[in-house]
Amino acid sequence: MPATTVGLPRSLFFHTEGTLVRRYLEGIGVTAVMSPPTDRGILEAGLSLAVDETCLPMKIHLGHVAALRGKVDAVLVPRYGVLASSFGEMCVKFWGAYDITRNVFPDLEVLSYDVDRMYGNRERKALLGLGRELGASHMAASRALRNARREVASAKASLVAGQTILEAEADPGVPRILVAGHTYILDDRLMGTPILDLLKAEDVTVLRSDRVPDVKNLRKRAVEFSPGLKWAYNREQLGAIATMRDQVDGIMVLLSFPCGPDSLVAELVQRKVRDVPICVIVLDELTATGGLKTRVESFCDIVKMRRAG
Amino acid sequence: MSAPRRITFPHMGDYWVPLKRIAQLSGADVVVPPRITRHTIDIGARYSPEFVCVPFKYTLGSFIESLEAGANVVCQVCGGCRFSYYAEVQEAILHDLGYEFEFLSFQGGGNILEVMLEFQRKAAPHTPVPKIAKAFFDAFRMAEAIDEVQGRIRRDLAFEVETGSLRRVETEFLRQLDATTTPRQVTELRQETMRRLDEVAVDRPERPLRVAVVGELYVVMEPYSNSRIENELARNGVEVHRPLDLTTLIRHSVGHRKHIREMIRGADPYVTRHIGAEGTESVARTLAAIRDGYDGVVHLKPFGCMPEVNAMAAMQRISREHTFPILFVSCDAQSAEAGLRTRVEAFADMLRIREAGVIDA
Repeated sequence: MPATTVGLPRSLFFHTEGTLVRRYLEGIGVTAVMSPPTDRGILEAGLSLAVDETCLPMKIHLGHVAALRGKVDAVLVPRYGVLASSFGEMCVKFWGAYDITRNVFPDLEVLSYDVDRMYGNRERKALLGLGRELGASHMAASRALRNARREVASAKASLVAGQTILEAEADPGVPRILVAGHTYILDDRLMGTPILDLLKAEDVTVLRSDRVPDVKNLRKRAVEFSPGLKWAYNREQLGAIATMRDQVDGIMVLLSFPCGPDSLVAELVQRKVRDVPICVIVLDELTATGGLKTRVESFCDIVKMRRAG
Repeated sequence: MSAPRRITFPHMGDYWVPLKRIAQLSGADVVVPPRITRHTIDIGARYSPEFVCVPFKYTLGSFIESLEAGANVVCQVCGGCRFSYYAEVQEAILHDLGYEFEFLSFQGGGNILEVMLEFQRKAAPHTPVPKIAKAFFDAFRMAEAIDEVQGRIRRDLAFEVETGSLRRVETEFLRQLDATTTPRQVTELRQETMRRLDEVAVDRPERPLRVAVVGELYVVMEPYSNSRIENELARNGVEVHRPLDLTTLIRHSVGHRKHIREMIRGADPYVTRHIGAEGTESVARTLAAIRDGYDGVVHLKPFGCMPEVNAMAAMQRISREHTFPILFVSCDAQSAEAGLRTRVEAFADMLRIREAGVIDA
């Protein structure tokens, strides 16, 4: 009996792929339930379940799965591995997320789809396979996927366009700050949102690295900037930094402890980008808002003073 | 560059002997880095990103010590996780520190044959490929000799009658290995050393405690980085086995995907897809250790190691479901040896009590 209500944890993948998968599942007649935005309770649950050296987003992910337990027939945790070569590959946490979730919740029904060039699985093939598993005909699944993709492309484009408009209409006298970070950090209610809010209160124009237009070009720029970089999210992020560094007054890098890729990429950015003030903020489960506020304020002060000459 | 080229590479265990043989192919003088000490890791950690994994810090420290000793060509290889990005960041750090050097990184796609061709292209363009291949093969023979000798020592160390007698043979072996010039001499030395090890008096109990050491390759193979945990286990009367060494690593690098498939099969049902680097292997080796009747597993990883932390979720479940003892050890720049000693002692005691049947599964 295929699952009829599928839970999507609001973590890692589903900040970027959530809408696509939700629309797709609904298109094949499956009810998709997304876990609520991260709160203290979800974090606490994640902390108690995870190996303590796991990165904060993975801990939060496990908290989200726990929040869905009992409310759905199955939880969907995809696996993203090696993508097309121009995209790069995902960090190994994304490789392991499915098996980690299964091992932490042995009694839970965990669905998955596997996007990995190493096994010849593209996203389309993987999602259609999931559709089959959930009892949809190939025709219905292809149609649902096509519709979902169209809708997501336009939603993504409108986010990017929103930032472009913001940029064009912003008062040129107001300093611009590029916030660089993974979408699953920037969009997380507990990790990124508080910092974005603090920045917005500072009378600066806030631009996000994941909403810089022409992502294809960003990947290319990233590889020029750092030939050895293979992580997909970091390529987009580094490409955004390389493209925007002349157009912004400051760069704020948000990363979580102890992120593997970011531990090195943030280091390289600080060593190679010397002409723009950079502030690196490392988020962990103990993050105190008071300390954050001081850091954000003082960084904005530096950026403003520098601009004023 | 007008100064004569002086080539160096990072330390890992005693593998500097075969690595030196390969580095010599470049025609440059070889600077073997000074032995890893507290200084190596202190200086490496000082210039490393804060929470990068510890092999980065050790190899950076090794590079700085070699550059100080006059090296000007630095070699680094790359692997399947963060390791693939070490080279670029280390190069930037060393440049910012003001060193003048050439940095050669070998991506190799995780395959020794590709690494070999890349080495020829970047480090020894005037040496014909067959000659390179032969040197790589000779070096492989040396690594095999090291692994066989040290594998035996690991097994017997807990039971030697006269303390230090096995290590004495080992020291002599490594000294002579560096002096060999032909594969034949390597084979003879290896056979001779194994004979000498056979002659060392060993008092093995009928049913000794047996432990398998698994985990991330660097901290498993560099004794300094794991506070010489194998010696510590031996001190507590435990026979140590280690499925991972340089030769197996190199063998598996040829036909890497097939190896990963085998490991996934071995890790089933706890791991169904590759979880990165040696992560899948750690899980498979743990299950194999249970099947083969080992008394416990020691899992070594650098603090925050991405693949091995992935593996831990599976290994904790295995430990629970099979009531099988696993000691998880994280290695970082700050290692508290006394703390580790206590943990190993307690682990060995627990295995012994369990073996005696006081605690029943």
